[in-house]
Amino acid sequence: MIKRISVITALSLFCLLLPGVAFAQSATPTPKATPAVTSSPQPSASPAPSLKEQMAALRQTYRGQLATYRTDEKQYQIAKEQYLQLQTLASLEEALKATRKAMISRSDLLETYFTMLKVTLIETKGIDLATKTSQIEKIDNTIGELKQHRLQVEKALDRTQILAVQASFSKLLPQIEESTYKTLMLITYGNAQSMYDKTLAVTRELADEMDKTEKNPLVLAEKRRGFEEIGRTLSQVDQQLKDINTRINEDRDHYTENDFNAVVDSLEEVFSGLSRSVSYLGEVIKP
Amino acid sequence: MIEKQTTLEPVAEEVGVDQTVFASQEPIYQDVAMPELPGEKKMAEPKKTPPRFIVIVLCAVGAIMTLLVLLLLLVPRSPMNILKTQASPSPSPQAELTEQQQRVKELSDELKAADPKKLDLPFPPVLINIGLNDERNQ
Repeated sequence: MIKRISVITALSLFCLLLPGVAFAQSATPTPKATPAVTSSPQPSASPAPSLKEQMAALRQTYRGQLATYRTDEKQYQIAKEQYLQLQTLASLEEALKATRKAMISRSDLLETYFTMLKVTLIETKGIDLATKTSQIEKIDNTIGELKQHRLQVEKALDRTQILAVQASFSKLLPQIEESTYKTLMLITYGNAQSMYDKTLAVTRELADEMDKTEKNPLVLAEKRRGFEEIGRTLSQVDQQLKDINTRINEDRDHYTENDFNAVVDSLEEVFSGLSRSVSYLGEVIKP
Repeated sequence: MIEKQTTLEPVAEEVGVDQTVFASQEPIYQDVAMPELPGEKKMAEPKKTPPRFIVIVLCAVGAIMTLLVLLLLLVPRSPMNILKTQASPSPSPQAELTEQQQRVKELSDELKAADPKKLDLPFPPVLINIGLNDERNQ
C-alpha cells in the first residue's frame, strides 16, 4: 500500500517538474513579443509616467497619513474630554501628548496634500507660466510654514506652549486656504483652457482637410456652415474662459471654498460649450 | 427478609459451586488466556495495513500534488486566453471609425475626463482647532 502511494507521489512530483521545463521553454518567446506591442506607444508616453508614478506614490502616502491622522484625532478628542472632566495633572499630561500627536499627523497630512497639489499644478497645461510659477512658490511657502509648525509642535511640552502653537496655526489658515483654493481654481481652469485649445486645433485641422477633400459644392457649403457654427460656439467659450481667468487672477489676498465652487460652476458652462462643439464636429465629419 | 433467604438458597444449590472456589479459578483462566493473545498478535502483525495517519498523510500529499499539477497546466493557458479575448474585439470597433472620427472620439473622451467636478483633490478632512481650549465655555 505504501509502495503504491509513494509511486503515485513520485509520479506527481515528476509531473510537477515537467511543466516547469515546459514553461522555461515557453517563457523565452514572450519577452520578444511584448516590446513589439508596447514599442509604439512608449516613446510618446515616456515623460508622463514619472509624474503619474510620483502622484500615485503621493496618493498612497496620503491615504496612510489620513488613516494615522484619524486615529490620532480620536485619541486626542478622548484625552481632551477626560482632561476637561477630571482636571488632573495625569489627564493633562495625556491630553498634551495626544494633542501633540494629532497636530503632528495633521501637519504631515497637509504637507503631502500640498505636494500633491503642486505636482498636479505642474502637470496641468493651459495656465500661463508666470501664474503657475507664482502659485508654485506660494505652495512651497505654505509647505515651509507647515514644516516650521511641526517643529514648534515637537518642542511644545506644556499647556502654554501648546496654546501658542495652536494660535500660530490659526494665523496660518488664510495662507493654507489661499494656497488650496487658488491652486484648485488654476488646475480646473487650466484643464478647461487646454481642452479648448485642443478642440480649436482639431476643428481647424478637420476644416482644412474638408476643404481639400470634399468635391461636392453643396455638401461643402453645408459642412462649412457647420464649421462656422462650431467657430461661434468656440468663440463664446473663449470669452467665458477669459472672464474666468480675469476673476481667478484678481488682486486678492484670500480665496475660499466658495470662490472655487463659483469657478467650477462657471467652468461647467465652458465644458457644456466644448462638448457641444465636439458633438457638432462628429456630425460634420460624417461621410 | 424471609423472602430474600428463600431466593438465595436455590441459586447456590443449582450452581453447585461456592464463591470461594469460583474466585480461586479466575486467575487460572486469566493465565491461560494471556499466552494466547501475544501469539495471535504476532500472527496478525505482518498482515496488518500501515498506521492510518501515514496513509492519510500520503494520500493528502498525493492529492495536493495532483491538484498543483492540474493548476500549473491550466494557469498558463488562462492569460493567453485573456490576451486573445482582449486583442480580438479591439480592432473591430477601431477599424469601423475613420481617422477623423477617431480624433473626435479621443477629444470627446478627454473632455469627459477633464470635467472639473471629477477633480479628486479635496481639502483633507482635518480639525483646524486642535488644542486644549475648552470650547464648551467659549
